[in-house]
Amino acid sequence: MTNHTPTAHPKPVSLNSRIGISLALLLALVTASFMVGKFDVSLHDLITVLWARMRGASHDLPPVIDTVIFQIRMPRVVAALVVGAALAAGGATFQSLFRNPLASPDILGVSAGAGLGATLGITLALPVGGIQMMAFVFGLATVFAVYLIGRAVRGHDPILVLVLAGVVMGALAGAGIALLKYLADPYDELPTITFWLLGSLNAVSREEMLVALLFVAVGTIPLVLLRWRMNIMSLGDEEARALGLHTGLMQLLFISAATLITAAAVSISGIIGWVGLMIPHIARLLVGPDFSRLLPMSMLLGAAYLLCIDDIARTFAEVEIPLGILTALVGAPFFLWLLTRSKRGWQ
Amino acid sequence: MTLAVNHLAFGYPDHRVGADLNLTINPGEVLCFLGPNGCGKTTLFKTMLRLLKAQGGNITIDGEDISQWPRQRIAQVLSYVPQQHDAYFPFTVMEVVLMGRSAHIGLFASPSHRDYEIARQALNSLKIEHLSDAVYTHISGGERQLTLIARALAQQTILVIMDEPTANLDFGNQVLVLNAVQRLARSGITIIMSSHDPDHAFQVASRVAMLKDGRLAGIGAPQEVINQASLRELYGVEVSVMEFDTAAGHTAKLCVPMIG
Repeated sequence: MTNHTPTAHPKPVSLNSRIGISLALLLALVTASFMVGKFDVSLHDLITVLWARMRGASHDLPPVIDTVIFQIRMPRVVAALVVGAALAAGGATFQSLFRNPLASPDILGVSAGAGLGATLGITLALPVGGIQMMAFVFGLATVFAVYLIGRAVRGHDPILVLVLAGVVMGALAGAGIALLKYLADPYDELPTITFWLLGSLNAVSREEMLVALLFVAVGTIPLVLLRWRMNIMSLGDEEARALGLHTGLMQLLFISAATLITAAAVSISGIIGWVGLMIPHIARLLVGPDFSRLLPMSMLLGAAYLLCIDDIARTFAEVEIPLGILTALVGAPFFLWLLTRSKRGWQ
Repeated sequence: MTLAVNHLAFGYPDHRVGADLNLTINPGEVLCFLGPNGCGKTTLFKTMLRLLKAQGGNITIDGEDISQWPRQRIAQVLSYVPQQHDAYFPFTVMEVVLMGRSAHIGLFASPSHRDYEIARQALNSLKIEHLSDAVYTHISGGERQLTLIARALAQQTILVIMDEPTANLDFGNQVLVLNAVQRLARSGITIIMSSHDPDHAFQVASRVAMLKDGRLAGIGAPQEVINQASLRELYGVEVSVMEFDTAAGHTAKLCVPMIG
C-alpha cells in the first residue's frame, strides 16, 4: 500500500465555494447580456426598468429601453441559458451512460435527425414554428430508430451497437440533408438551411422558448430523480446488473430523457456542437464524477457558456456570427488541451 | 442459505461452455474453483449471478429457482467481486463502496447516513478506512481489489462470488486479499471464488472444485483433492505437493512445479 493517498479534490477551494463562484459568474453574465448589444443599456437603466416592472409602476426612461430589454434581449438570454443547460445535461448523461469522453448529446443522431427535419421544413416553406416542430419530431424519430436497431441486434455489446447505429443513422440523415440542399433554391432556401444548420438564437420567440423550456424541464426530471443510479450505470452493464439494477429500463429512461432535452434545445437553436462535449468535462474537473453534482454543475456551466458565446455572436461583428462556428472555434482547441493536459481523458 | 446448481448448462448463445453441472454450496464455506484458463470459471460465475442466462437446468437458492427473481432480489443475496475492473471515472473509494448499497436503496433515493455508516464499517473491516477519500483510479491494484470486496461487504449479502481476486496482484497484495477473504469467511459469509494458484486454495478454501472443459473434475477438501495426479490432469504439468510443518505447529501443503 502507498502512504500517499491522493484525495478527491486536492484543490484548496471547497466544493461549495466552487458552486458559489459559478453561480455568481452566471448572474454577472446574465446582467451583462442585458446591457451589451447594438443598443447599449446602462446598469442604472436596467435596474430602473426591472424595478419598475416588478412594482408594476412606470419609469421616465424612453420606452425603447423596455422593448429592448423585454422583447429583444430577454427571450434570447433565456433561450441561451436553456439551450446551453440542455446541451450540457444531454452530454453529461451520455458521457456517464456510455462511459465515453467523446460522447456528446447528439451521439445517437438527434442533431442529424433534427437537421433533416428542419431542412425539410424549410424546403416545404413552413413557418418558423413548423420548422421547429419538424426538427423536434425528426430528432426524436431518429433516436427511436437507433434504439430499435440496438434492440434488434443481439449478441454484441449493447452500448457499442447503439453508438454504431447512431453513426449510421446520422450519416443517413446527413445524406438526406445534402440532397435537400442540392435541390434547394440557392437564393432563398439554401442560405436559410445553412444558417439553421450552423445554429442561432436570433429567431427564437417567447412562445417557442416556453415550449422548449417545458420539454427540457420534463426531460430533466428523470435525470434528477435517478441521479444516484446513474453512478452505478456508469460502471457498465454487467456490474450494474450485479448490483441489482434493471439496466435495460434505466438505459431507456436515460436515453429518452437526454434525447427529449437535446431535441427540444436543437429545435429552437439549430445545431450547436461542442457545448455538450466540452462542458461536462469542466464540470467533472470542478465537482467530480458523482452525477448528483455533475448534472447541476454541467447545466449551470452550459448555460453560462452559451450565453457568453451568444453575446459574442451578436456583438462582435456587424453581422451575427453563427453559434456553431464560435463553439467549434473555442471547443476544439479546448478539448485538445484537455486531452494533452491529463494522462486520462477523464480527469 | 444454500445455493445449488442443478443440471446446469452454461455458456454464451453461440458457444456452450459446460453442461449438466451439479453442485451444492454449503453455508459458510469457502469454495475455491481451480482450473486452466478458459475452463469456464468466469462463465459459470456469471451464470450463477444470472448475468448470463442458464442454457439448461437451473440455479436455486434455498430450493427456489432464481431465474424469475427480480435483479434487486438477487443482489440482496448474492454479490459479485469482478475480475477486471475498468475504472472510467475518478470516483472516490467511498463512492464506489456506497454503490454496493443500491439493492437496498429506493429507486429515486441516494445513500442515507445509515448507508454511509455501513460503507465505513465495510472499509474498517478490511482495514482500508484511510482510503475513503482516495480516488479509485489513482490507487494500486491491490487497494482496488480490496475496495471492490468492501463494496460486496456493503451489499450485505450472505453469498459473495469473487472471480480471481488475486489476479494481477503482486505478492504482498495477494496476501492482503487472501487475508480479507479469510476474515469474511470467519464472519459467516459464504464465499465462492476462483484462483489461478492451488496454494491459495490450501490457504483459504474449505473445499476445492476442479473445473476442466466446463465439467467438474473433482471436488472436496483441498488436502484430499489437490495432489500430483489431479494437478497433472487439470493443468497438464508436473507438480510436487510438499508437506511441511508451519511455525504455528500444524501441517501445511504447498505446490512446487517441476521446471526443466
